[in-house]
Amino acid sequence: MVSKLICIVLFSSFLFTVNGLYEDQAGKFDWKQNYVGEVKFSSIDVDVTTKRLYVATKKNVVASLAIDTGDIIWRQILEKGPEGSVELIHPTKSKIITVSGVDVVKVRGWDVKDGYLHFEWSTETNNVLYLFVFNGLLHNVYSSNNLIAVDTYHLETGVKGKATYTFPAHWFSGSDRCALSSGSLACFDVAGKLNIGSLIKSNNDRLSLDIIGDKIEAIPGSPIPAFIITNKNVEKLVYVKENTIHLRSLTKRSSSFIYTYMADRHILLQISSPMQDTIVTEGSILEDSTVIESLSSKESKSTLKISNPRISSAFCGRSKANTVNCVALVSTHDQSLMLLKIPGSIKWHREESLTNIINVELVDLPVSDIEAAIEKEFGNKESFLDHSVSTGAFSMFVRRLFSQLQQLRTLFETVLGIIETPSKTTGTKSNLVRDQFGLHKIIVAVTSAGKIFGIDNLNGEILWTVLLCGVGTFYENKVNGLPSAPMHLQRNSKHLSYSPMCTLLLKSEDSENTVLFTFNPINGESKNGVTQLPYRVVQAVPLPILNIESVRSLILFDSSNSPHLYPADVPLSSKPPPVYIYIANPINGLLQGFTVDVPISGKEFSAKEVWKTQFNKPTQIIAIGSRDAMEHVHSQGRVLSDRSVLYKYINPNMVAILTLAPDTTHKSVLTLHLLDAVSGIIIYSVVHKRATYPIHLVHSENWLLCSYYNDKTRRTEIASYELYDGNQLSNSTDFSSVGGSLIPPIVEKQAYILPGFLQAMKPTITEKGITSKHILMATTTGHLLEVPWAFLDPRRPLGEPKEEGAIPYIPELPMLSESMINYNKSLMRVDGIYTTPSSLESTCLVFVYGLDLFYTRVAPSKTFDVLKEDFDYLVIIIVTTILLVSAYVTKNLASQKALKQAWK
Amino acid sequence: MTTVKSKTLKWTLDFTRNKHEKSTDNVSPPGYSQSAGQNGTELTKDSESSRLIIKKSWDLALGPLKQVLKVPMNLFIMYMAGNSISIFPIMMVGMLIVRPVKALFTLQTTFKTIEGTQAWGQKFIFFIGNCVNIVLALYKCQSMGLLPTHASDWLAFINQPTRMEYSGGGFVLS
Repeated sequence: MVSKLICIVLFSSFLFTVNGLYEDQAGKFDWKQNYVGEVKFSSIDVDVTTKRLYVATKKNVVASLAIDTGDIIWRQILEKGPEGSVELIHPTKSKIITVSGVDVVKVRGWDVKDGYLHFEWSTETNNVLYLFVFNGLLHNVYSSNNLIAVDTYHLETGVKGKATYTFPAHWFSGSDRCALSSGSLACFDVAGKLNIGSLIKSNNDRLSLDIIGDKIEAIPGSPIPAFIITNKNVEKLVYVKENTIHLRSLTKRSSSFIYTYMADRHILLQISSPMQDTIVTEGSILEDSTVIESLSSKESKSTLKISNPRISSAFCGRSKANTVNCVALVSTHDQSLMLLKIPGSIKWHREESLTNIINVELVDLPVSDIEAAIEKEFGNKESFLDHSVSTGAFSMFVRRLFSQLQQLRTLFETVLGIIETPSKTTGTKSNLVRDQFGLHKIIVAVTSAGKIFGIDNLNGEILWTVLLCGVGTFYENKVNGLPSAPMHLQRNSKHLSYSPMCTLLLKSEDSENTVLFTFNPINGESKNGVTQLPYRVVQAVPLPILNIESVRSLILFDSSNSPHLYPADVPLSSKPPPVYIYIANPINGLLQGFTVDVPISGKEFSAKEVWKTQFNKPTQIIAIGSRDAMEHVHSQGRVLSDRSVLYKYINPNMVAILTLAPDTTHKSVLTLHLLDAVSGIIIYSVVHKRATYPIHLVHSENWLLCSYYNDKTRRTEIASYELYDGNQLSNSTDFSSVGGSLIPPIVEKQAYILPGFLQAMKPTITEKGITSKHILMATTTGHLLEVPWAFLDPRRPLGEPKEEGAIPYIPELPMLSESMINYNKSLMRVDGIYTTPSSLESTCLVFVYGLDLFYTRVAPSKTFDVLKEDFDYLVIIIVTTILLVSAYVTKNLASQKALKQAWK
Repeated sequence: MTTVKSKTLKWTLDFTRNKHEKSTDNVSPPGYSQSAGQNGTELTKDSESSRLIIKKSWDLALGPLKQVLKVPMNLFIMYMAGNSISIFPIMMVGMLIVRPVKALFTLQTTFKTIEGTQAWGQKFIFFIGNCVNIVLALYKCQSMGLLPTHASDWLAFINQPTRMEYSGGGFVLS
């Protein structure tokens, strides 16, 4: 039995030879970028031999960066979520010590050279207010029984210190009115007085100062207790030195940093950014406000787009010319990280907000000018509606001459080597043109930091950035609490006289209304791109018809359930079919379906509620799976062994609704409903007991995959469903969800075990849907698996295979090392996978985002439509020429011979 | 006497004749008869040849049928080739189809020289015979599964149905 099983496994692994990569192909089609995340704490290693930076980030990453280049030297990823959140870092000579976690505080020491773990200890704590390190002791400040207690631990061993200091709790007035800096706690009391007391010693001496303030903030990483007190936008700096409080008013709105310069002298560094591309620094002596001239600088860079810079750590020294100069690690509100040399320039710049991508779109590039000229000349009127092409004979002749002259010129220039081939200069903006196979695109990524990036997909270079500062804030996904940014590509690059157009839906910063941000995805420019709407959009659905300006109009559905069209007042090119909009509310469990009949003028239309479904508490809608709008299904059925056809049930209006409900006996129950969004009919429902997070849903063609963690068997399972119409096709020409037969589809189902944990799952997509489908799965171990759908097919036979090529059912899914398309480039903390078709039917472009960015392309059915890279062009040219020449020679010889014979 | 003898016994040769007795005329070579040429008249000669032509043309017309019925070589080859799809059975089936089809196309040229009252019937028989051959070849194709007779064979030509309604939506944006 076992040997039989092994045989079957071997057989099936040979059946589907997965595209492994050859060694020399590594990095040819793919790139990976490593990031660390938004910096929370940092420290600069002053040692000349190492020259490193140590950072701890909000992504629970501890890393070391090279000070000269900003490259990651080592990176350690801690636990996900609050268990791994770094609370403080403490650099020592040979180790970086991090304190992380909330209820269980874990203290770890990392080797500065290579990031190896030296030691780790943990302790259980609760009600922790602050943690700080003083004198090699970790101080844990917590509240208990109306007291503020401070426990000390030896930082490296975890041995608890002798004393526990206690302080009366009454002057701790809440964490929003208190701040801790350098072991001293500053609190506003009820009377509005500021009290500052040291938590290091067990004395009750407190310094107090009469000052009115709304907000108190500690200056991060300050060597002396220093606080910024804000009162009605006026900032004041309060610091404690030699047991006395000093007050200094700050003139400008800027971020401050204090550096110990000499034993009794401190440098106050201030940084601000008056414009998005400018950084202004100022330096002065803290004690006597003497301005240090050499530290005042203004740096402008056109490619820079930053807001609210903040010095995370700095190092200052005295140069040979006896001036003070500093190196500062600056992190900004938009989560970029840069090293600033003062005086001097920005040494390097990292866009760490790319770790928080919330929406991605891959946009086709426009065609080159020459091709555009050809398209204008020969382009059919249907796809290029927007040409103002005159049809006079003479003007056409002139245009033809002109375009051919242009072609000739480029040909000469290419031959003479004046311009390089486009493949070599992908980054430059002039060469951002579409290639033959549609493989070159722009990745438009929206990050939760409010920054939009345009990234070249061939080399990962950032081409443009847009800061959404002052435009609007993001919507919030109520299911997982993360920001969401609905983005719609309204006009692609195929329309020559119009530039492409992408629209992002944002919330207004000062009201509940919606703001639309429209930009060109190729260069990031937006002219009058911000549109303030007088209502709040709850759903946006693109129309199936373009308007006369080639824009795919959006139906904006507002909170009072009335629809609007954007862009408004532009008539449509033809009458659109009825559009049905469904809206799911995860808070009250209400699912509603509306119908909208848009007139051709695009003006004055209303929505009508068609159906309504309510999921009662505690059932919660957790995911909606709809098919990709770009997807085509080439084959309408499946051939069985007796050569009959099992027709697929392909309902473009079907959506999968996943609900999760707690249960007394089964802990939690996951329910999958297949719902027709037009009629509101529930086509099929299935229940999974004891299924919990992580849950992922994939809906494509006529099948669905739902992965969940089975709490009973403690493993990840993937349930696979496939829908069939039966042996008869109900209607071959058009599909309607209403008025047709109500025969429910046949549902095939099967579950598989995945030996691992999933982070994201996505099917591949190709242009025509001829290529077979593969499922891309990102696992927690950092692999990106490419699993053929045939392995997840619910019709895999139990026992002897009945269909040709069918793999016998084995519950475990194979995790072959050849099918890991990211080979040795591990991808950690994957947030999502984006797939998009290229113009080649065989090839699908894949972009994986998370802590690392990874781009590659996959060919699920191998590259059947392109020649192999190692195709021998030379041999085929030689053979063809030889054959041609010999054919001519023998033809002549034969005719001569025939002539001679005729004369005989 | 000898002439009489020779006349009565057409194929006899008299080797017992005396050596010294010189014959006056040359003996005809064996198998040659002077009268043979003069035996049939012009009329009989004509009818003989036309009979031959008819016989020959019937042979031609029945040729395809004979291939099937009298000497069932093709059937045997078909049987031996089996139903698996590989290069040789495919080539054979191809030959089986192509030959009768070719013959049908060249039907006029084949029967050009043949005239007579039965020409039409011969053509018909020839046609029928080739058709039988084609049917046989098609049967072979059918048993090999090469004929597009199942719904699955036409699956690739079914287009994606057009949508009558469009739908879209998702979670409420908040």
